[in-house]
Amino acid sequence: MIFQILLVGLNILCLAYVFGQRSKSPLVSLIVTIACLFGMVASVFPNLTNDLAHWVGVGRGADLLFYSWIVVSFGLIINIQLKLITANQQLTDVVRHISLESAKHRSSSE
Amino acid sequence: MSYTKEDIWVVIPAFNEESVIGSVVEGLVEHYANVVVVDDCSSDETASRVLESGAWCVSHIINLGQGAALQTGFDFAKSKGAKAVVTFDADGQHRVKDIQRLLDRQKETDCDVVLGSRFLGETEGMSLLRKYTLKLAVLYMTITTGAKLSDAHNGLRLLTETALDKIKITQNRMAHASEIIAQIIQYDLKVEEAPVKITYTDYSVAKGQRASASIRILAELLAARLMR
Repeated sequence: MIFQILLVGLNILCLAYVFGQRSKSPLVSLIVTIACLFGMVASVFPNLTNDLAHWVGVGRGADLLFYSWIVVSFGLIINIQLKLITANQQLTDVVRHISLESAKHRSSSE
Repeated sequence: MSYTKEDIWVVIPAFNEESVIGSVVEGLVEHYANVVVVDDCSSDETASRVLESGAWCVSHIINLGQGAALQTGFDFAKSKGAKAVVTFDADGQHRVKDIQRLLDRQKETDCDVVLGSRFLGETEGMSLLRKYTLKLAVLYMTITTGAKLSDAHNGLRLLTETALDKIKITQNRMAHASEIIAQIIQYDLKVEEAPVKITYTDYSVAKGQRASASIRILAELLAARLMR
């Protein structure tokens, strides 16, 4: 029971985070949202995962959860990479601004 | 439209080119008054050589990449009232007189962008590996953007004010060449090609892009697509 509450809580936190990121990376947010909702249902109704696992051709519910977590992790890694790209663009803008402000020519230093 | 030499700014991105940049700039300033070199945080005396040779020097305080350096050059040229910009390599591969070919082509066709093409012009010292790698790059460009060009990775280009207002390079490193083509198509800019000569020296080949860099460029372009 405690572990179920913990898992649901973690999934809610994850959902809250991706909800805040939805405008920056909508596709990644959608994937992670679906995975978190699935995670919450699986936590509350663990027997459902076995039924679902058999339906999709995976041996056990635990295996299905594991594979789902791999997908979620992949989505989060992509999200971090996209954030790095945004940060890099902002850094570029700052460096560019500084360089343009300090342009030099031989005539200006003579 | 006809451009005077005062309307044009030549933009040269440079990184650790102290041994050749002086002669490259001196060759340009004889014909074009407005030359700017964007020094991408070189660790050698590139910036000093540029200032001695009579060009403007804009220096990045950290190394960002050739694409970033080009965009910095565009922004600088626009701030100085440029009507058109010519991009030119720092390693001595390009000929100054080919800039006039770009200008003539622009005047004939009133296009927004003129791209230099080594395959319409000539090359000296190009290996077969490089030739077919570039041909593959053209094929990739055609498939992904629909652009029908003979040379998709030539650093010698002319961009008019219309093109400069639209094109914004966000790919800091080598994927910028593909990005420029993609934006030309995206903004429906009129593009023409002009024959130019590319001379491969031992120096320029050693400094140039490795064939393996194409994988990294592909990854950068895919990441950019995910961001949209």
